[in-house]
Amino acid sequence: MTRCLPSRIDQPGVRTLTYERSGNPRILAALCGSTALFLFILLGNVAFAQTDADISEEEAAATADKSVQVEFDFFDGAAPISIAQLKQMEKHFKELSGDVKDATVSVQVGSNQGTGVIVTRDGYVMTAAHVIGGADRPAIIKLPDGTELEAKTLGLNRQFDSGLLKIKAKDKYPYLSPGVSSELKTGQWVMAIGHPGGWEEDRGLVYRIGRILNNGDSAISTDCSLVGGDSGGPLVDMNGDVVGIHSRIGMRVSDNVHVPVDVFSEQWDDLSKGRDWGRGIGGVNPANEPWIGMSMEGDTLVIESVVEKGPADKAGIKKGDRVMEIDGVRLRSQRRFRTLFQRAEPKEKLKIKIKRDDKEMDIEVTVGSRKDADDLR
Amino acid sequence: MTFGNDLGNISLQTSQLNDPAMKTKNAIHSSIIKSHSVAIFCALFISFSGSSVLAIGVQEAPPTQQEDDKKKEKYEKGAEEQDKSEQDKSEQDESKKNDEVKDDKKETEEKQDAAEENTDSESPSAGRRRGRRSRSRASSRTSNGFLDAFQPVIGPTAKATVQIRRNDKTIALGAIVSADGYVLTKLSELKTPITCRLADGKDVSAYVYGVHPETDLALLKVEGDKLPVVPWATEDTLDIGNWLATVKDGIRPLGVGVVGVNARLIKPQSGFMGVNLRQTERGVEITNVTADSPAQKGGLDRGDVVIKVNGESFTEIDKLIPRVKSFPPGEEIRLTVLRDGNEIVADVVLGEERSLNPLYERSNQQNTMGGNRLSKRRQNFPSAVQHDTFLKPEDCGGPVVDVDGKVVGINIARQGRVASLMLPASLAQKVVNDLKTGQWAPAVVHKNRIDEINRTLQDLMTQVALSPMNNDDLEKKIKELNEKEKSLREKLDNTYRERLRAEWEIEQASQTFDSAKSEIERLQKEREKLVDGTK
Repeated sequence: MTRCLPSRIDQPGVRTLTYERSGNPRILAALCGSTALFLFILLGNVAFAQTDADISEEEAAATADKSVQVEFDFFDGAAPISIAQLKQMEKHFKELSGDVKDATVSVQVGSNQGTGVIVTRDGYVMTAAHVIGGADRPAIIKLPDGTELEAKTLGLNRQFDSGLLKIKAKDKYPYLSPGVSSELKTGQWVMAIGHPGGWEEDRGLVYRIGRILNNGDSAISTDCSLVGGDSGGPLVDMNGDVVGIHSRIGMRVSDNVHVPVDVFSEQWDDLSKGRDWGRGIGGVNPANEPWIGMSMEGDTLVIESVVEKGPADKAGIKKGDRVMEIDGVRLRSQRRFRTLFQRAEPKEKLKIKIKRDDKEMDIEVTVGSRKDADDLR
Repeated sequence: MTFGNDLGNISLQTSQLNDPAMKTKNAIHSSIIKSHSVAIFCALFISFSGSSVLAIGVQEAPPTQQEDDKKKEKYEKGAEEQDKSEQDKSEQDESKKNDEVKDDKKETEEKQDAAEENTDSESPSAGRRRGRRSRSRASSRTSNGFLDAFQPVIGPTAKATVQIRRNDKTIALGAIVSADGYVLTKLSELKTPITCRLADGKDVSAYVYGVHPETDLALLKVEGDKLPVVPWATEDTLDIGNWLATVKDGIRPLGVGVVGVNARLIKPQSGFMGVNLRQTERGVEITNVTADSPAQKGGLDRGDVVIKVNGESFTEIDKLIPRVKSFPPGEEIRLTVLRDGNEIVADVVLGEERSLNPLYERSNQQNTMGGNRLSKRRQNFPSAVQHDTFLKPEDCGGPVVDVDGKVVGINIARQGRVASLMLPASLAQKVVNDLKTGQWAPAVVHKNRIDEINRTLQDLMTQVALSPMNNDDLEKKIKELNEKEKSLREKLDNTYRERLRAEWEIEQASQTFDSAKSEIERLQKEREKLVDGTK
């Protein structure tokens, strides 16, 4: 695997002049691989200082050139208003689809199948948390030409649905650079790539075009239509940089939600170290499930027993107590208690109001985890 | 199948609500989530599992109780942040509501338009009608502002595009392919009697001149001698990324998308067994057999290890699944399985996935939710370009143009949530030429197919009677012949059904003809009377 995508860094003169809007220092850092991203997060300013100078020259050239070559600014979300502009975009889509092809891969983890995108030369692959399902699992990455590569799942943040994998074999892989999703503007043109319905030998990747409808810190929505199997695939901007990862869909064909790539960039360290955290779209890591160490009688709110040295016991909850409130919320059913408690994070301090001998009292419980429960056994 | 769990979905809302920093930013979730009543849990995951044969899985909206929880949660939290996010949300809700109201209004308008169109063929310009119907979110790719960019090139095609109508409803679009009134459209959406609404709003009667089941195209004939004709593209230069504009009427395209997959064979639907499989060291093990599935009827059981399909050995799940999928529904396949150390043979007649697999229903739901209806026939085309234009089944059958305004294909199916299919212009034109010869008239087609099937059956019987073979060969041959016979019989059945329909149509037509004739006679008599009277 020595194919490599043209990118502004590898071949500055080629794409920069025609298509680049502005140099993006973060991408420079990202291109150097995971370590660089990590460095960027810690030493961002230093990296910027160094790269800014390089870019300004290129940018100057680009600006000079742009006046001739770029008639209108669809990079920033403008809609074409003439056939000439449509053709200009079309030409660009064609080049773009060629550029993004080799780095978009099929991801298979156990019985889950989705899409992913290689984002570093040494084979880090972004995908969705719910595709990989957990850390440190064996996975298969299938390149568009059908080549299968062994991989391992690294970290995942289930709250945002971000997940990372690494291809095992040392090689130089075709990759796309992460962009900066916070800079996306409403209306900006984007391309979605993936394997809708799963890998299909005689079909291959499917390309879709659309625009940013909404850009939030935890989710981007576009009218690039997605469906089962697309999960984890890249949403790219007109530079061919990854700005989002396909995650989920709403009712309308135009409701399509992507994980912002910034989530990956900002949490790269944790993700690449194999951390499995957060709860939400990607489910819950069983080890992080909150645990309080007490049981209730039937479906009442009366404590039946407490586990010795468990969180409830340590906080002073006793058999026979009746739970009245959790974090200020009045309880009417045990189910409600469970629902609310499930949302607590391990180590979080929960205020629980109990009734003992007709007297209400507030107790602060430090939530434990399933892991604590296992340790106590 | 693993798709996270329901809890995951619960937390989708609550974890975000719990974290003040996230609230405002998550307005987008909330808007998507809240905007539909099935709502909160409509954010569906879009990965799927490959372990269970022939089943796409999705995680889907768990019960509504969580919605309550969410409301309460909102109620119970009092932070300022919350208020802000509430405000954001309510704004979004409001706009969503407005959207919905608009949609309703649009529908009403559409109905009014339809009514207008029925009573008055000189109704307002088609362009204006189109405009009112379109969604108009300014920054989306369906916004009018964007669609209008195609105005300069779609005119000639729009003039040659017709709406195929039945019972005052448009059931498909069509392309006028010759000035003397031949109209190309999608076959499987047709139900006679039909009329064609021309671009000038005139309704003219039409009959089916030729049918081409292989491509699902039909050629209609309407009265005319100087009709505008679609400008076909002269060469196939389409590639991924090409703009495609679907034309209906007026000056604005019905929708715009890009080529997402180049022209390819669209296979028939895959056969379905109804088992879950997993890879083990011994081979591919059946972990579950769906009740009443083809697999169960064929005698397969949980724990069986599949080692052969029609005599071909398999050890890997990744090879086995595509092989089984490669057979069409209705095909009988012979599986050899290991059960308690013994080799057992099971003959399974493959079914259609939709028949009983709830997961299929779910994935189908993903493809069809939000009112995204699919074409009845959406598989099995010799060659089709996949594009991402949002279409309805009744938007198919009509022409698609490129940025030069040339017709590069005919929309042939809405296939799924992300896919519309288009037959390339070269193929469509070839079919037009074939159909124009008149050799593909519905009655002729049915007769020819029956004749062909009869001939093949005869041949096969002769072959069986004559061929001297050894036992093994003979057995193999017989099996082959049995399979062929079966598929032929199926074809025969289908053809017979189609013939019945054709006969019914002829019957209808002759009745119409008869009543017209008697009406003419009556009028003639009346005229004679009048003439007599004046004398």
